[in-house]
Amino acid sequence: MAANARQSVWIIGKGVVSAAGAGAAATLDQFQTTQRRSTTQLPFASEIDCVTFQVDAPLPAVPGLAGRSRTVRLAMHAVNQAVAEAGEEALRAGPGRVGVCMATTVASQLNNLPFYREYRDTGAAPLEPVAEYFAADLAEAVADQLGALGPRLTVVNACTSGADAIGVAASWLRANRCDVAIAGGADELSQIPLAGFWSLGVMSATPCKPFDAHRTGLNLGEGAGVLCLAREDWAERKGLPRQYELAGFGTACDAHHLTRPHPEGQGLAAAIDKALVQAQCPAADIGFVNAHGTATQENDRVEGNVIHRRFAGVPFASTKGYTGHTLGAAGGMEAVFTVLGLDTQWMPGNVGFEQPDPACGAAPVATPTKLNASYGLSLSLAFGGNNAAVLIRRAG
Amino acid sequence: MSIHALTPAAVMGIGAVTALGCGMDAQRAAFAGQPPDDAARTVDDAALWAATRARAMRRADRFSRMAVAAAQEAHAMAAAACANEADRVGVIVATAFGPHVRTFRFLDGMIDHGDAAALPTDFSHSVHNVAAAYISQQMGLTGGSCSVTRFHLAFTQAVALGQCWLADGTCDRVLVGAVDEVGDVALHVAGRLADASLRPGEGAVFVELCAPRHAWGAPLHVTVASRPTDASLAVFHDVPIAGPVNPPDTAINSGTWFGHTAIGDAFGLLAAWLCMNEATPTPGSAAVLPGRPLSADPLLLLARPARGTLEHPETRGTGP
Repeated sequence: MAANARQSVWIIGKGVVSAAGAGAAATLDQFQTTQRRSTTQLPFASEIDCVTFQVDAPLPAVPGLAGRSRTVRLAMHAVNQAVAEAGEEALRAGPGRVGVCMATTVASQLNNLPFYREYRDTGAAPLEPVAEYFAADLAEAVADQLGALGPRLTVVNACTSGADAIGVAASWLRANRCDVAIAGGADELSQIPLAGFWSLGVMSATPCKPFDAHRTGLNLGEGAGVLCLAREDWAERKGLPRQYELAGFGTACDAHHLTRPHPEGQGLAAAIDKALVQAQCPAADIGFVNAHGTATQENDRVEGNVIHRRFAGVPFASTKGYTGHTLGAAGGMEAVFTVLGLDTQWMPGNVGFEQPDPACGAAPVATPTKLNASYGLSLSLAFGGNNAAVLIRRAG
Repeated sequence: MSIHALTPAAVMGIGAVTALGCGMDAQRAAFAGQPPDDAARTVDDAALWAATRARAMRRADRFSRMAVAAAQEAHAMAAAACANEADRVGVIVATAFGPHVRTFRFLDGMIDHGDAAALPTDFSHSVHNVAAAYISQQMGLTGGSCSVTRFHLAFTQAVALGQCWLADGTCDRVLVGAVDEVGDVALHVAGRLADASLRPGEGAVFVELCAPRHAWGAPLHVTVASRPTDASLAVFHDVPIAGPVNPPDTAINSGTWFGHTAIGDAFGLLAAWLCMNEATPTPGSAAVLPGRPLSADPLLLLARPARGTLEHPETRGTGP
């Protein structure tokens, strides 16, 4: 079993939870309705008036998760779906052969206002929030829950994190660091990024309108999206279904600005090209694109133009009108949505979109749209100029 | 942990910012003497700011500056050995706690002025991947960027990821490093949680790696392994030495030099590099590992490449 850049990586399980629903079936039902479950109520006191997307259903009780953060519990909700779909036998690999790569933004920081306020006021602070912070290392928490002893990493690449975690796991599998891997992301709604995005002036007080001429910014959301990935030889040995292949992954950096994408989308185009090359897939074979589509002025203008240049006429949509921007979870969730698009051969409409913006170069599909697709592409952009492209193939 | 053998990567360049100084020359000079005895091992601000003067870094804080200074040095050393294309150089940055000083400054703004009036610059600099962003921007590196975090062996896992990227063609070179900073809150927490004998440290260590087939002149190779087989030097990093492992000829504790941090494996690699290039007699290989290794912990191995890999690829096989 040698390292092999062409070793196929198969998607053998998936899990998702967001404001659009828990699990594939509920999410698809919500995508069909074109309705959205946004709210103006926040789970914490704040003077910021905005719309968010929250997971309102109670999270399932999972042994061993008492006292863990909401981000860890969201992650495990999605992980358990993915493991159930893959089957426990799929994860019964040798010692150290199950890897876990998870992404987050919120859980990586000691973002605890009461803790810090007390430290400021008294010069001392309770240590319970610190213990919770240490226990919230997402990859460690998930790996411990699964008893996985292979490589563990938490990716913290801001809004491309979830996609990058999938790319990291694929790289591990191709290099034969493990036989099977759990990869994706999770983030809970938190007051700190809410204040941060508000301070940047990119948050909307109304439900977001990705790619629309009158878009006014993003809405934050929460959730988790996870894939269970397996090496070709492991899938063959275990008789696992090989229907959806993680055919390509591309990562590239703009090296341009801390918070703004490159105006010509150079990094995004390079990430797409890398994914296409790795998959040996011509651009003309891409059947649909799940766009990052945050509804900020800059993201949608740059991304829309790159999609238009690379994939003119190919249907694309952002799902953030259903889920909000879930930060570290977004890339994982949207990879799951891409698998669902290939599975059902339809994609959700870009809810919130009404009027095309000529500056975006192209217009998304506004309603659920039938597909005839063998390849689906999911795009992510982030602070720091990060760009990621996840390319998924439906076999047969 | 069972680790399938990863292809060792050639270390083309190394750079460091530690309490001993900014740059490898400062590390070498200090390492020739005795470990400092101050309580906390913090980086000198004046030297750090002097090493990172670019206008585009005017809003950057210590966290990002330490990373950029170390990464620049490693990249320059690698470029001197062999030119590279910026779109084929990846960046992987490991950190345990991220830019937490800036995060708490953002929280200061929320507490003092309300959460609708906190400063956007503090927010954009509080994300964990800010250091990687500055590195890519300052050096024009577009070959992919990944920031990773763990509270234990984050750098070791980052090196392993770098080896995977080189193996699967994600990039031809990869700058892999680690950075963490000391701050008031961290010192307060460490003081209450940690062994009083530990001295909190901070800094950044970067190495530029490439696949051995593309390397020539690289004095050392690094890989991630499961056992310190045959290492003649053991470098322990996160706690005082617990005892020799597979008895090496020599064992040192890098924490006594650079301070103790959650990215001690990066400082351990720096200590191993210094020993293998400066010490007399020179160790043939080094294992960098925690002082209390768990059976599942991977470790870093630093070794001299086998004969033949030091030749320039264009001259290989053309000798008299």
